[in-house]
Amino acid sequence: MIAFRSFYLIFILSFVVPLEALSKVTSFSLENGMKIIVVEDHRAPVVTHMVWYKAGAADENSGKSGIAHLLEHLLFKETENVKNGEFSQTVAALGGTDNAFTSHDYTAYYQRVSKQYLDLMMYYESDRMRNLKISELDFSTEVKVVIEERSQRTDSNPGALFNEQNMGSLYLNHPYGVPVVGWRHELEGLGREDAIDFYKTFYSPNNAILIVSGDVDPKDVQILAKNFYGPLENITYLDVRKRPTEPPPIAERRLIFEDERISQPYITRTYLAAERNPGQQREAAALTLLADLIGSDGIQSILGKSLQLDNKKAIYTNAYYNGLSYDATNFSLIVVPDREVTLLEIETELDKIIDTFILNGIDDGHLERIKFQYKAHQIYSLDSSYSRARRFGVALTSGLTIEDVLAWPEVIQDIKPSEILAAAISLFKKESSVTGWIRKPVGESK
Amino acid sequence: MKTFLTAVLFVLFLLAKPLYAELNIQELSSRNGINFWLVQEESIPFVSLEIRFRGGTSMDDDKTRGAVSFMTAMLEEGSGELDAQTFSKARDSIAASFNFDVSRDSLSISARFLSDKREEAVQLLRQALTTPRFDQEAMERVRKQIISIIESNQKNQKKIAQSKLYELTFPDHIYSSSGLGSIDKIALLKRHDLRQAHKVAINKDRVSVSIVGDISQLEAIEMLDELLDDLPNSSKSLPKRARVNLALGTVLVDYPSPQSVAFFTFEGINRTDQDFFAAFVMNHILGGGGFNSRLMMEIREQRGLTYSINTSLAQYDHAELYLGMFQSSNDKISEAIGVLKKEIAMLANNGVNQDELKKAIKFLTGAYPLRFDGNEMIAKILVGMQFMGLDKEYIDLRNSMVSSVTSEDVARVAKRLLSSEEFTLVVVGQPEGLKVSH
Repeated sequence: MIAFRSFYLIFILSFVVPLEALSKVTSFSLENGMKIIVVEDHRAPVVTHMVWYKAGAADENSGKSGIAHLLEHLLFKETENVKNGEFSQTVAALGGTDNAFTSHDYTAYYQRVSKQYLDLMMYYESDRMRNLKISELDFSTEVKVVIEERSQRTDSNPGALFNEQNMGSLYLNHPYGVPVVGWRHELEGLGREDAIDFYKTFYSPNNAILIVSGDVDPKDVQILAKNFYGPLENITYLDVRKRPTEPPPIAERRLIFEDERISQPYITRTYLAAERNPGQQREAAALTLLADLIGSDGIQSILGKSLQLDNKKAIYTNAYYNGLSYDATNFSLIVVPDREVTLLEIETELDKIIDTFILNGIDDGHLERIKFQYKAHQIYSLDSSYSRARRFGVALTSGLTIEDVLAWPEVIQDIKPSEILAAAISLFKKESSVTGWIRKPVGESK
Repeated sequence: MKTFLTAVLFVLFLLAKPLYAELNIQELSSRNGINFWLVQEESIPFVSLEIRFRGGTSMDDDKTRGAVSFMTAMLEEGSGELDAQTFSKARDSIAASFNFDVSRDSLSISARFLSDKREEAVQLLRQALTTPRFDQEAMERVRKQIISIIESNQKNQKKIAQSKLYELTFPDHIYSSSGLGSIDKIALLKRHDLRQAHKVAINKDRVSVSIVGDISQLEAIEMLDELLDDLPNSSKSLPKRARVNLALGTVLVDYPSPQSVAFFTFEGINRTDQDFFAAFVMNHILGGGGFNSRLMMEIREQRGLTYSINTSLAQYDHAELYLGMFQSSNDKISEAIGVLKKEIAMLANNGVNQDELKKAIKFLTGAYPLRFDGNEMIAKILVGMQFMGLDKEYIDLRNSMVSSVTSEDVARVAKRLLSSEEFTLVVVGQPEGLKVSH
């Protein structure tokens, strides 16, 4: 019943040091289907306990935006066995910290405590997986809190408001176009039964991943997990996540977003992009390197070099790509022009640079430097078992396997310039992109 | 399940052994007399180095305000024989990272490099610190970035609230203005001004250093001599203690947004004050303690008036404040401020109960050892301790100082710090029904 498997991270750098003990990752499953990953780090007597659900905002029913995140808030309320707020208060009494986060693809809960309290964390976390109670009062107060959260993080921030519009335009049909926090008018219409419905559909051991990192022995984790999570039954039959998919993109989209609170105009270009898939990570690896080559490596990147150093038409440039996503992700470029340069002019420059990049190909020296930094990052990342645990959580709720996560550094090192170029050619298509102009209302501007 | 819980809670009280017992901090001096703390941690082949120079943006002259932060931004933009791009190439080809940051009171460097690239990394960092070029071309590029940030800050609701609060609180001290400077002053800064800023803000007699990682004592000593020996000693005195202007009532700044931002301050307390730990515990109970603080419970959990509210005891080199901050919708902020005032008055008048005190102490003492997690974290804590003038024994004593706080201590310090009904509260937004003092 318990398949015990151990993985050792493979180090490409030739350090002759005992890294293995530090980097050991173990995984197994319980009979009810719950997956468990243990990331060992024995330097400090601390443990992080996380439960990840393969359920996020992109799994909400249409018209119910924000319910996944609102439910995350409600999990800190009462259950059949535990009083309102008791779990958090207990964690605090132990000197620990706890929190949770929701994305389009996952909802995750974690506690960071001294290692001897791992069993207590499992007691509470396994309890709220199945025994949540949601009162009308808690629900209505928490909706208000979430609306304040939306006001604070989105409505008070013009950049965040633009981003909602941008994603809504990029994804015509897929729920990645709907904000995780929820549209305000839909938040206002949510009811207690929506939260219960989402909870009953997705909060189940066979839809959850337990990740324990820190100063633990995998065998102990196994015994405890079996004790606390083992008895939980699956009440739901979970099919693979079926979400609406995107139609073939056939029209370039353009947005003009104006807000009085913007002082510095800028442009963005966002393309639909391939994500990492199990056993198939090469295109995503190529896109990861492409983002560094073109924009996210400061003045060494093509955008920084051309627009900040050479013709000085921009004061800031960047590129973003994150391949960890269940469905198709996106690749975005941002350019903040010098005050003398118009948005139209800077957009023309951006297009020229992309064309030239594809014509000229890749600077091998730069690619080597970027790859070496990824190698070094494998060393640096050992300093935080929390971040390593979190990376496993994101990957596994994005449909990847542990093997994919462990193979990723090698895939990155193995990518050829020709693959990056090919990925760039299939990425940079205007018809699968949104261009955004962000500025203060015209007429007011100088 | 009940018996299980009792057993677990019983174990809590047996927890006596400090968890960080194995943290072996060595106090060392370099050949040229620079004191530093070293923790050798050989299990991962890299080194975290934290360097902090006292002074920060407060070393600016009024007429060249912003020069220190401009200079800090230029340290990675070319030094020695290398221009900006060649420098960043050299740094990236060994996968080192150098973070330069500056605040009111200090200029800090967080460096990280692989053990087997130490020599190259130190050489690059040394030249960034000691022989920055301040090339005209790089200066113009960075100048534009700084001006753009200042312009954005002028329209940023939180920044507006924050700068208004500092402007009111420090009427005649350099703390009153942003260390970034103003657009007109930044526009006029010359290379000479950056050289001057470099001379007054990076001095080897004002440095604190910690090193954690895979490095020997001897290597650490050599590294520090190489890094810091060419730096000048200080030539400009630090600013004087600030006069703090408090209890100014509610001040409103109009700003179009669905939410209002509120920043407030009370009298702060110095770390060396005998009631500091009482204030520290009090703050945890009032607004420093995450989800379980009184303000979070009353304003967020019970009434849904905000997403988050927090308070903190701010320690600057030349002043102390007791700061707080939250955001609420324009139609709810007046109610939230009402609850805030009621909670403040209650704490000032009645102090805290035994149960709250016990919980706060349990959290604060339990959380302390958990902070020492990871080389980078430990290095940051250690440099901060030296900067604050704490010795390494503080790590062992700190929890007992927190534990010895009584409810009488908290009541006394609450009365002392929170009695003013007219504390300073800056609100930026378009709040409904708010009573304003000015």
